Amino acid sequence: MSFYVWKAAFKNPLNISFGIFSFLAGCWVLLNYLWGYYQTSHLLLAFTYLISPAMIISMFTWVNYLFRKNLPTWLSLSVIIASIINFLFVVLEITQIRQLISSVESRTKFTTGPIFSLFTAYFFLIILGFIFYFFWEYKKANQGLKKSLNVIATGIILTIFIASTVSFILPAFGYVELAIFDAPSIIFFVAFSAYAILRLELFNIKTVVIEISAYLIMILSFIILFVVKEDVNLAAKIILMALFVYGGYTLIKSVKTELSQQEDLKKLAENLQLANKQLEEVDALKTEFISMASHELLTPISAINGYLSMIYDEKLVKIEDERAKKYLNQVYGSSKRLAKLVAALLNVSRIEQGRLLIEKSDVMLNELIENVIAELKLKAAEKKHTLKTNFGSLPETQSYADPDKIKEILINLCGNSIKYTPDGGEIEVGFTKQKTKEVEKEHEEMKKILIKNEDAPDSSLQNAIDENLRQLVGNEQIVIYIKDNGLGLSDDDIAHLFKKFSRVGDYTTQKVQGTGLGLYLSKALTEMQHGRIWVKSDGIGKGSTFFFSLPESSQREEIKKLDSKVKVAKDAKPLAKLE
Amino acid sequence: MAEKKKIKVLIIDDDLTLREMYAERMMVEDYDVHIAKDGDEGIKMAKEVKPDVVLLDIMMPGTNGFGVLESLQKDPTTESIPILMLSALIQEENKAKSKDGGAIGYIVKSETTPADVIEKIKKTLTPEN
Repeated sequence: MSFYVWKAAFKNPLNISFGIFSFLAGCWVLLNYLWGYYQTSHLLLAFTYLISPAMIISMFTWVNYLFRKNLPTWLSLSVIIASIINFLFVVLEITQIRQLISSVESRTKFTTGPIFSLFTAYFFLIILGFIFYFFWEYKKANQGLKKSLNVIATGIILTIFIASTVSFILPAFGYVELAIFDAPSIIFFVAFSAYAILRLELFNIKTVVIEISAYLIMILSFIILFVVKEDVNLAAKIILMALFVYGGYTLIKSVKTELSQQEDLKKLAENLQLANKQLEEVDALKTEFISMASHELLTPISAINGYLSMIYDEKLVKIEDERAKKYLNQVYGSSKRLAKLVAALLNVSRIEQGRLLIEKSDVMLNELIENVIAELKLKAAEKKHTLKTNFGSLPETQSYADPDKIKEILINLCGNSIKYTPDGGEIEVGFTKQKTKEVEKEHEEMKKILIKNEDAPDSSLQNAIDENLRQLVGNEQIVIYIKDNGLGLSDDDIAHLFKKFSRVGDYTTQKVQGTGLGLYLSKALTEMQHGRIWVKSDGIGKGSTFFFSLPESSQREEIKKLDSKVKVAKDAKPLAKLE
Repeated sequence: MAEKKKIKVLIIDDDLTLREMYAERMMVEDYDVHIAKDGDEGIKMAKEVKPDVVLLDIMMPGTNGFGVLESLQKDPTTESIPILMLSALIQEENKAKSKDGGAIGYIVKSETTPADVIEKIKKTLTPEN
């Protein structure tokens, strides 16, 4: 065992000193045992006591290395002094061994010499000193070290328990036969300590006890073989030992397998964690890149738009050529689209970095919707759409939300209806009130469509928006709808609709141009305001209706409470607008 | 403005295309346009030219816009010159920082046309009663 510990890390002073200690302890136990067995050999006793100073030195040394890297002077000094005293005893013993123990009848019945009591007291003092030192350092140890110290402490306690039982308690009741096991009980201390040193990170006191007991029983049964004199008994003992060895071997093997599996699992979990962290870093880097790139894009866009506005809006230069005018018109349109895309990208990166500023207040929805409709009238008229509002029986409705964000959602949704509905369509914007449970149900229906189409929800949004912001509040929700009689949507369309860069149909042949970010942004903005967004369509060609919910203004305090739990970035910014 | 004196504008911007664009547009208004291509040159020219208004970019090599703003506001010879920040940065914090530094306006490049900039300058220079 000592060589095994040594081999495990032969340059580590802890392993070296423990290796020496366990070797000496082994010799000490063996000699002690043999002396106890043969009882009369004074030479064996002399050797036993000769080993003990060296054992004490190594014992203090390895325990010290367990706690710190260097040997403090006070410890080495006191250990050296103790060893010298011990050595003096031994010298006295060798020259005049009868002074120590004058006559021996049996292990426990012997007449002591004049210095024996002195030696016994000294010996106990050393052991007490060691135990005190150990537990004193134990108190100061950190959590990880304590785990291994617990194992060693178990060994110490077992040793003390067995030693005192066999040499004090049992003899008091007349059982002296077991007294020869007093010194060997140190094996428990050695074995548990060896385990603690070798497997510092794998602790489960149960497996430690099983493993060590199995080993000890195996060794014990092996020793017994040499003691037995009768042949019949010997044969029985051999069979018993064989059984012990086999049983112990299987037990230890299964424990080892279990432990190594645990270790593998732990490693796997660690690797997974690392990979996950790296993935998060890549995601953050990507968002950062979009943010930077968008910003860099803004400068040239400003120049393009500036010059074009000087040509178009201000007519500062005359362009005679009709075709030149046409080309420039295309450039102007493209530049505006580019500006919109950059704004959308900026907003996406802001949301994903949790840096979008939200400023909530009481919002009169009727008024806000009317304003947005008025802004969009021109666009709708270009395609001969009728665009109307319908507030039903709810003339005055207030929500507690960010008006800018509601406006952005409305512009996105109405803009889509205007874009995707063939000329001369009908678009209606209004709102109703619905039970919160129903809203949740409608939203769940959407998720089902997603799952049915084997599509995973966008996780970047899920991660970016705080759960506190997503939570629905109140019994009822205000549900705003935008209904058109346009192209309609298939389930497959619906499954992809709210994802980043999603576009209905084949975008390479698409006549209508968009960024593919509008609905993704609308979903994010809705969910940041305790709302849900969903869509319903009776199918291709049958029009579609978009819904988004907002909380009632009566839930103001609840919303404030939830929002106060969300950490707001220092450099939060409002939505970028590049209209 | 009783005497017919040209309005003197100093543009401090490191982006060649943009500063030329604004200069071009100001020529149309018959302004006396001066151009500095970085912060340090801008501070020097502001002292020499004594412009009626300064258009100041923020992100520039060397002394940045905030540095120029601070230096012009400290100097008694230039402290009275109105400064309009003209930047690509859209963060609110930059607007607040500029205002605290003494700038009288903040223009986001991507959100405004050259005509809007002229409008701002005119508004700045109109004496308020």
